[in-house]
Amino acid sequence: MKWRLCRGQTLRLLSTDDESVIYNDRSGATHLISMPATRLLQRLQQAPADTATLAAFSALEWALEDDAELDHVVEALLAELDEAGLIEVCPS
Amino acid sequence: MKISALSPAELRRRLRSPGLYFRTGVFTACLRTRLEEVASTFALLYGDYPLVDGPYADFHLELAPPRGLRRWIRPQVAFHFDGEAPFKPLPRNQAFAMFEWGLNWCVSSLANHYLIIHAAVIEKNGRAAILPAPPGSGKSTLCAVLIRHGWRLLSDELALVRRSDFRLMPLPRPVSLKNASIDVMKRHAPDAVFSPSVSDTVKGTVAQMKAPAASIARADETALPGWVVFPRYEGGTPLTLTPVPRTRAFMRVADNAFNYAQLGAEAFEALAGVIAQSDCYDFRYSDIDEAVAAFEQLSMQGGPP
Repeated sequence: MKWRLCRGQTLRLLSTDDESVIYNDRSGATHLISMPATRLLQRLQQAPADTATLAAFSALEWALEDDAELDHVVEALLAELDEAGLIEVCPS
Repeated sequence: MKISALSPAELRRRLRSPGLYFRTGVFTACLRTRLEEVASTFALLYGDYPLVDGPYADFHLELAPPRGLRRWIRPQVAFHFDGEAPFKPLPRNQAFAMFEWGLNWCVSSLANHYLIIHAAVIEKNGRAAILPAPPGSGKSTLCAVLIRHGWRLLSDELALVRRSDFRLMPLPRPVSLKNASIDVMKRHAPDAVFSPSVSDTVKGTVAQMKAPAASIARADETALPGWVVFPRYEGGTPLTLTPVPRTRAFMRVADNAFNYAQLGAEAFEALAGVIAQSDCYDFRYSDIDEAVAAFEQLSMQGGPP
């Protein structure tokens, strides 16, 4: 299962070291998201990716072990971004 | 030519018909009224504003008694904008306050070429401090004090952000004060000019303090954002100035913007442009002199990198 940025999302951001505000081009809402979530969005802006790839990306990004705990955190972040309408599962 | 150049008789003649055209910052308004209390308070507070020639105005306003028995029995006043009455009438003694509230409503409802934030805006050394705050926070009192201490008044109520370059547009009008803050300011600034106080309004007792002539004279000068300060008066507490992360400040200011949702992505970009240039703080104060000193120190800081 691969994730992608929802069509139309241009990632309008204002960021600090820890978090970002992001404008949702589809809903008009403004979200406050963590920096790890921001980086996942920026990674998906480059190309769709599956959870494993995104976990490996996050491990490199944050100098962490790519283990089950990280997988769990990445899945939770992806669920949050999906809920916000910023990302979606690629159609198979 | 300023409004103060008109004789009292000519001022009242124009107010009766065809209306008195004047400029406040970026807006031109035309006011018509036969109510003497409005004319006298208007003359007291608006003498420094420039007259303009009609018939064009951004807002055509009229204050007049409503039709029917309310002209005579428990008399009321109605506010008209472009011939329509958007509000219910108020007691006649609130007529001038109604003019001020009505003009604010016109700007906040219609000037959507700007991002409009419910905030005071003052400027010093070329940088604007935006003070967003809900009613009762002490924003207007703080604004009224600071403009007596070298800060230029851009607005006591409405921060207008130009979307193209994030600059703040001046709209210097009389500062609205209410309840205890009226006496606070009269003690702090005994030489300032105040309207008569009016009690029993929806906001309690209200009065307006005349805007500084120097601020009105510079109403064509925009300002770059420099600070976003969320003020709160808390009696008896020590002064604190606490940094707020820009992301958190953004969300709080967006909540205070009249047309943030309406303007969509352009509002996001405009507010991001303001916040990116601003140092953001929570400000708690209980002593006016300490507040003035804190803002003076703030004004001497450079901008964000």
